[in-house]
Amino acid sequence: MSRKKSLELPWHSDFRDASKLPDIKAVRSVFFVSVAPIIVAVLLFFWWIFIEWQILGIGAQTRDDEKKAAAMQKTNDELLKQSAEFEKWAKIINEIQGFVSIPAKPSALLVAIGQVRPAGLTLSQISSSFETRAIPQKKEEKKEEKKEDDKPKSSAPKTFAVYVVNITGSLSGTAAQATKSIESFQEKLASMDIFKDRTFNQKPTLKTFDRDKGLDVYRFSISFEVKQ
Amino acid sequence: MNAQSLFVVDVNPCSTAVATLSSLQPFLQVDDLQLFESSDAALSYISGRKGRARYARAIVSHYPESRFLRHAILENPAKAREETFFDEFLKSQYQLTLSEYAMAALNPSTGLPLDFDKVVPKEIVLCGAKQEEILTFQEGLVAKGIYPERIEIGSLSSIGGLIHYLRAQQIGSSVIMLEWGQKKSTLAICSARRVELLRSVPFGAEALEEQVRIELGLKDAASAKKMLSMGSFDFAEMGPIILKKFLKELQASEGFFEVQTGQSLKNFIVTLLPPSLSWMQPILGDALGLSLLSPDVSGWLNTLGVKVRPESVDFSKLGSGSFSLLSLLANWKGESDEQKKIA
Repeated sequence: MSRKKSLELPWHSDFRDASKLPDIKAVRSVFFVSVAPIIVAVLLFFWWIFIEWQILGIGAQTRDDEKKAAAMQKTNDELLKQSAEFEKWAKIINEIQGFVSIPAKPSALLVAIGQVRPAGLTLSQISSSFETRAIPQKKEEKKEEKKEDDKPKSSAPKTFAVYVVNITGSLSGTAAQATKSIESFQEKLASMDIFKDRTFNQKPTLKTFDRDKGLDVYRFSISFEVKQ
Repeated sequence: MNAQSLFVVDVNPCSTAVATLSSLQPFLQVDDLQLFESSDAALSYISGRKGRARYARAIVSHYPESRFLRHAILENPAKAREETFFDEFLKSQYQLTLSEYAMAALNPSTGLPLDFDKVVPKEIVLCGAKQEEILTFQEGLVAKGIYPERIEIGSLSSIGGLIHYLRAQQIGSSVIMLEWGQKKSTLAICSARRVELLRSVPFGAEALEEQVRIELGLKDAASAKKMLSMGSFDFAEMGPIILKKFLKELQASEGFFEVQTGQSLKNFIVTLLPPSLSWMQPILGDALGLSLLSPDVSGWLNTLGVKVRPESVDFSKLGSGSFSLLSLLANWKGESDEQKKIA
């Protein structure tokens, strides 16, 4: 008789000899496996392989490109150096071209300026450049434009080309002498034979006139513009 | 048979009843009910319906020859906790060797096994049978491809069934249950509350045959047995004479109970009585002054929570045997109870 606590049903005592009963423990031979998670897992696995394969391809291409870049670096440096040299020389050539493109021969201009140079005047720099200027509109035309508001305005003003000549230098002597000399130089410049057939857009004008106390001279700069 | 089918089988000396349950959740569903004259035919029938399964599951009750059912009164219930108590108690009171028996000690009110951690009641019910006999029966089932979920002693489950029925039908008076046996019979008096009295009566089929032989002047007991089993002889007149010893014992027990408790008995029921001996019932009724209890099977089925398939299940064909079979379903709510047992 068992004295262990029993969970038997009332009036239904069980008299089996459990030790002599066959083992009927369920052997789990069929496992429930959800198909969907397996499909998802397989798809993710192939997707991962595809991504890895792409990464490998991109990596290989990157290494090739880096090799090419390294090989072309030397040539690139050489070309950049040449480009910098070219820029430098282009600037110089443009300046020379600007100077030599004036209507008069540069040498003749220098000679002519030298001839009209008053005594005590020292030239330090003569430069010339080719520039464009807008044609100034007449007052009447402006009035007409105001009346014709409906008409569209011209998009850009008409221009013309000029040669700009800048002369810098210095004058010795007293202030009165220097002023007299510079005025004389201006007049002579305006009446030089070399510009006989030319029209001044701007007659020789004194741009600066300053006293250099250290050297006791008067530094000046004169500019004039000749139409092409 | 589906995988969930469970067979409920009452293998008694007269016949074997087999009910097939398809639903084991409340309500239980009885799909099929068969009655077999021999237990072999019944077990073969079950085995044949197990399909591809290794075993057919079954709850089986049977009635071993060595079974005993006692209502014991303990002088000192606390002593029952001692390991050797029941060895000595069975030996001194009933001349039984406990080591040879499978035994259950139950509370007569609840029907549950005694809980030795709690207070042991003064009155207890002891039920058991020889281990060897039960094991032989168990091996016979297994050999037939039947896995017994439980092997019960039908005498005990019938008492539980009777108490359940009295409660379900709200029958206030106690009822005598008489279990007819080969060498002795068992008398149980049960109320809706508890087992009131249990007694072994030394009169059974063998004693009856001997009385018939003497009364009719037959040569041997075999002739008397044949005469009794044929059922063609009218024992209505001779019955009280050949049952005289038996009736005397029953009347003594009835009187004892009524005097002791002050309760009067009204009904009685006889189990395991072969149909050929059905003539005994009115004689017993007259002698005891009791009327035969005819269980209201359909009402009881409702209380038991059992549904039946009306086209294939007819409990009336079981006769008095239906009581033993239905008792197996009493106090049991199907798989939910089984699961509690396993947990």
